Amino acid sequence: MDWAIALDLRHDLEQAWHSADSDPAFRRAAASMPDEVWLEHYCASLALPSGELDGIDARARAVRVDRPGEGRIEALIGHVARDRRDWAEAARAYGAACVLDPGHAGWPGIAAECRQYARLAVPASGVGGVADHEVFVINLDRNVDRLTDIGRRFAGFPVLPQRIAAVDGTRLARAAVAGLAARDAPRGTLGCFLSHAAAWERLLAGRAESALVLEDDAQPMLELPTRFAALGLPPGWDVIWVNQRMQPQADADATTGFTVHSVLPAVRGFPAWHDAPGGDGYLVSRQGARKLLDWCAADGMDGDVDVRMLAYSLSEGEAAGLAPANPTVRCVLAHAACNPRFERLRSYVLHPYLIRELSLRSARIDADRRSDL
Amino acid sequence: MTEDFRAAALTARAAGDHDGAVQCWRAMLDRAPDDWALALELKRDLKAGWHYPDSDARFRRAARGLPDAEWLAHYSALYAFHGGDLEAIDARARQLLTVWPGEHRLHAIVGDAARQRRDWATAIEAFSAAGALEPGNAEYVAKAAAAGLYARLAAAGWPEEGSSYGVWVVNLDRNTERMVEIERQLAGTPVPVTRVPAVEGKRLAGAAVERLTGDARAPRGTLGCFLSHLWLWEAFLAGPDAYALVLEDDAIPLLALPPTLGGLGLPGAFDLCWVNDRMEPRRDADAAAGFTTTRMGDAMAAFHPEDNAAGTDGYIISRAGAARLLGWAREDGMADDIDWRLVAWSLGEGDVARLAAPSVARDTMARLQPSIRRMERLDAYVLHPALIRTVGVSSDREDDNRLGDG
Repeated sequence: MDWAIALDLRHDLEQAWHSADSDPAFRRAAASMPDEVWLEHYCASLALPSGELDGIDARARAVRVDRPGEGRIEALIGHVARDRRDWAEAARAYGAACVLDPGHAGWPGIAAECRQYARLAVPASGVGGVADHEVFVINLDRNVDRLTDIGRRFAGFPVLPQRIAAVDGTRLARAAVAGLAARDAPRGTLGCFLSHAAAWERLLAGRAESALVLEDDAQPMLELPTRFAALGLPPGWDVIWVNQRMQPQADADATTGFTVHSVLPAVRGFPAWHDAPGGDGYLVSRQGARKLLDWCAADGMDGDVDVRMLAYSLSEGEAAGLAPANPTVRCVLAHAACNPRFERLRSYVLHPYLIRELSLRSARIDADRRSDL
Repeated sequence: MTEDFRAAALTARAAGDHDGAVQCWRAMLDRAPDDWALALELKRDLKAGWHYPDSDARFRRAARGLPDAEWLAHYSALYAFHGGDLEAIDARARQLLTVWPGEHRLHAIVGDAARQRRDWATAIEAFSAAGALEPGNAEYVAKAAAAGLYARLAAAGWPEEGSSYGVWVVNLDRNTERMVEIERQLAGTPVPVTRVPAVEGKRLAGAAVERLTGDARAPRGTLGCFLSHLWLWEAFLAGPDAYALVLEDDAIPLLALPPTLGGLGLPGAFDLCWVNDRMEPRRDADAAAGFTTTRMGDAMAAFHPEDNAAGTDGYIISRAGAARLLGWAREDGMADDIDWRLVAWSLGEGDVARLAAPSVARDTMARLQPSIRRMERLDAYVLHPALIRTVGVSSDREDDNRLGDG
C-alpha cells in the first residue's frame, strides 16, 4: 500500500521498457496515491488496466467534484468510457475535455472517433446466425493476466476467442533460428511470427472460412459481428486488416459506415512516426492462410510477421513507388526486396477499425532483449 | 451422473477412443478418488492409449486401495515407482511379506524400492531373497549383482579432483510433477542443477517444421525434444562449465552425483558419453571394479537388435561436443529422434557395418546416414555401469507426436 514505493517501482519498470500498470503490485499501491499523483499517473496512461476501470471511473468522478475545471479529468472519464465501449459517454467526456482545454492536440480527434463509433453499428445482416469465422487470440503461457483481461474484453461476444498457445522464441537455439529464418532473427520476434503461423494452421485444421487473429492486448471497438461478410468485404480476399495502425487517413465525423480500402493508399498515408502495421487484429481467409504458410515455408520467418504480411500485399511496382518516409515503409521495402514474389496477398483495410492495441508492454520486445545472450 | 460417465467411457473404449475413455474415468475418480475398481478401468484405457498408468496421479491415489492380489500384480510388473509412493509401496510389501513370506515378487518390490532410494544393502538382500525363492530368475540375479556393484562404487566415494560440470534437466512447463520428482532425486547434488524449459513442438506450424526438418509432417513432439536439447547445448556453452550432464526429467540417478567428473574414468578428451542404462554395455557386474568407457562403435556393435532407442535421458557432453553438434544440426537439419541422430553423428561407415543385421539400429542408420554431410564423427563413448536410469513415465514426445498428427 506504499504509493511512494510504487512510484519508485514505476520509475524502474519504465526504464526497463515495462508498463507500470502491467504490474499488480504497482496497481494495488497506486490506488492509495494522493489525488494529484494519482491524476498525474492515470491521465498520462495510454492503457488503463482493464480490471480497474470501475475504480478509476469512480475516483475520477469523485475528484472532479473538487476540480470541476480540469479537462484531463474529463478525458480520463472518457478514456474509461472508451475502454468500456460506452461511446455516448466517451464522446460527451472528451467533448467536455476539449471545451475545458481547447488547445489540446489529441482530444478533438478522439472525441470525433467516439462520436463515429456511437453512430456506427454492425449491419443487421452481420448479427446473429451462424458465424462465418473463428476468433484466435495469441497468448504466451506466462501472460496469464493478459488472457484473463482479453476474456473480459470479449465476454458475451457471439464468437468467443480461442487461445493459440504462443511459441516462446527465447527457447530456440541459434541453430534452430538459422533453420527458420534466412538471417539472424531476434527470438521474441521469431516466436511471434511462429505463433501467427500456428494460428493460420489452426484455421486450416478447422472448418471456418476465415479467422480473426488477435494478439492478447487487443481491444474491440464494437461488439464484433457473427458474419464479417456483412461488412462488404471484397470477393476473394486473403487478409483484411481491422486494426488501428493500418487505418487510412479519414475524417471520422464524415464516416457513416464500414468501408474497405486497398492497402496502398493506407500505406502511403502513414505518418512519419509510423513504425509497424501491427499484427494485433486481422482477418485471414483459408486461401490467405494457405498462401502465407506456403510462402513463409519457402521464404523463412525473418523479421516481423506484420511487416512480412504487408510486404506480401504489395506488388513490386507498388513497393517501388513508395517513398521510405517512415520506419514501416522502410521495413516493408526491405522484406519485399528479400522475398520477391509474383503473386500477392489480396489484402485490404477495413475502415473504421474494429481492434485497437492497448499499448501494453511488448512481450515480443521483452523476449528479444532476454534472448540476446 | 456417475453412470453417465461410465456409459460414456465404455462407449469411447468400444470405439477405440481410449483418450476419451480416460477423461471419463478421471472425471469419475474426481468424485470417488479411492475407488480402486475405477483405477483398474482407467489403467486399461491408459495402457490401450499407450500411456503409463503410474504417470497418472488419480490412478496412483486409487491404486493404494487395490486388494492385495491386484496390488501385487500391478506393482511387481513395474519398472520403477513414482517417487512420492516409495514409502507406502515399501511398507505394504513388507506388511504383505508377514502374510506371504514365500512370495518372491514381494521381495523384488522391496528390492526395487531400495534400488530407487540407492539403498544398495537392502536391495542386495531383497533380490537375493527373491532369487532364493525363485531359482533361475535371471532378472533377480542381475539386479542383485548390479546392486552389489553400485554398493561398492558408493562405498568408494567420489574424488574431489576432476573436470567441472553442471547438471541440466530438460522439462516441459506443464510437467511440474516430474520436475518436483527429479529435484527430489537430485537433492544434495554438489554441482549446479539448471532446468531447461523444453520446447512444445506441437505449437509449431507445419511451415516451421518443414523449414527445420524438410518435412512439414515430421512428428512435432520429436522435433520439440530435439530443439530442447539444442537450446541446452547453446546455454551450456554460454556458461563456464567444462562439461554438462544432460538429464531428461524422468531420469533417476543410480549414485549420488559426484562433485567433479574425476571418478568416472572418462577419456581425456571426448565429445559425448552416454551414461544411461539403455546404452549401457552388457557386462558381468560382479566382475566390474569401477567405471569404464567403451567406444561408441564397439558399444553399438553389441546393441540388442530389437532395442529401439538409445535415449537422451542421460549423457555427458563436452564444450567441443556441444559446439560441433550445434554446427552439425544447423547444417543437417533437425529431422528424426535426437538420440538416433546422436548415434548417427557418432558412427562411421565401419561402425555401421558392424551393427546387428537385421536390427532397429541398422535400419535407422540406413535412413539417417545419407543426411549427414561430413566424414567427421563425434568422439563418443558409453559409460559402464550406467549413472542414471529412467523412471518409466509416459513419453510426452510420443504423446505430442500423436497430437501433432491429429
